[in-house]
Amino acid sequence: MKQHSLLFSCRQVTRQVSESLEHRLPVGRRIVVLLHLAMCSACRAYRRQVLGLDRLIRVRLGRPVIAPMTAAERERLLKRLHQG
Amino acid sequence: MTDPTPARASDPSGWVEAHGDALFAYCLQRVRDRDTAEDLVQETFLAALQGAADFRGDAAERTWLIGILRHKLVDHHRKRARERTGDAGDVADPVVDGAFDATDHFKVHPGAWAVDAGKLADDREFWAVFQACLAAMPTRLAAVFSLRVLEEAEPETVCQELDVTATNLWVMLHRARARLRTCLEERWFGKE
Repeated sequence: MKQHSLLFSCRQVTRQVSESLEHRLPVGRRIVVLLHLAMCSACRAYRRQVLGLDRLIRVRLGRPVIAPMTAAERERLLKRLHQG
Repeated sequence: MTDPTPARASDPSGWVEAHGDALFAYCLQRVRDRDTAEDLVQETFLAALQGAADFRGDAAERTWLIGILRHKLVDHHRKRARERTGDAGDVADPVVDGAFDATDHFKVHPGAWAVDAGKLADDREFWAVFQACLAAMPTRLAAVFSLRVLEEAEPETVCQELDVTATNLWVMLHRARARLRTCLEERWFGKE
């Protein structure tokens, strides 16, 4: 089993934050990350913001969006389709 | 069952009328610019016209078209992600690594902002900045991020198609997220 130093640097923690969005981190690593977060307000802010942005994107993708085509875009589209 | 052929298959104008704006809006959420969205919507309708015979009457026409568009979007991001230029997650990223000092701690404390999803989800100006930040990223990073996060492609699929390891994929996604955070802090949250 891979050993982790009891202390992660901020650089390592930011990487773990992203990886935690992909899969559940192994318990050992999770604890090391939590230890770092408990002591480091910069990483806490970073984590909150990155997770917040991820959630925001999900909310956004679920929203109906009204963004009509311009007249020119619509015209080009129709022309193209009529050409086959 | 009803007639399996879509009613408007022989009438592209009616199709565009009924679904054009919806497809365009769907696309615009997921690509960098209107030109790309326009191309992809065109390709979708052309493919739909050719494939009208395959349309199964049990799916709503809109759902069927969105399905075709999703394939086009994935192809689009995949092509861009395959461009050989750019980050493959196997060399250092000076921008992302540059945020840390010699002991690998943050040089500058991240700002005091938080993301208010309720407020920002429908804020057009914010999403314009978001797209600009994606566009400012190395192409390959932006494409991988789009594939995985915007198109929700399975990680195994992304790895296979781009011929990268899971570790490389994680590194690339991390770099994309870190760059996005920094860019949005500079261009949006820092100004709030």
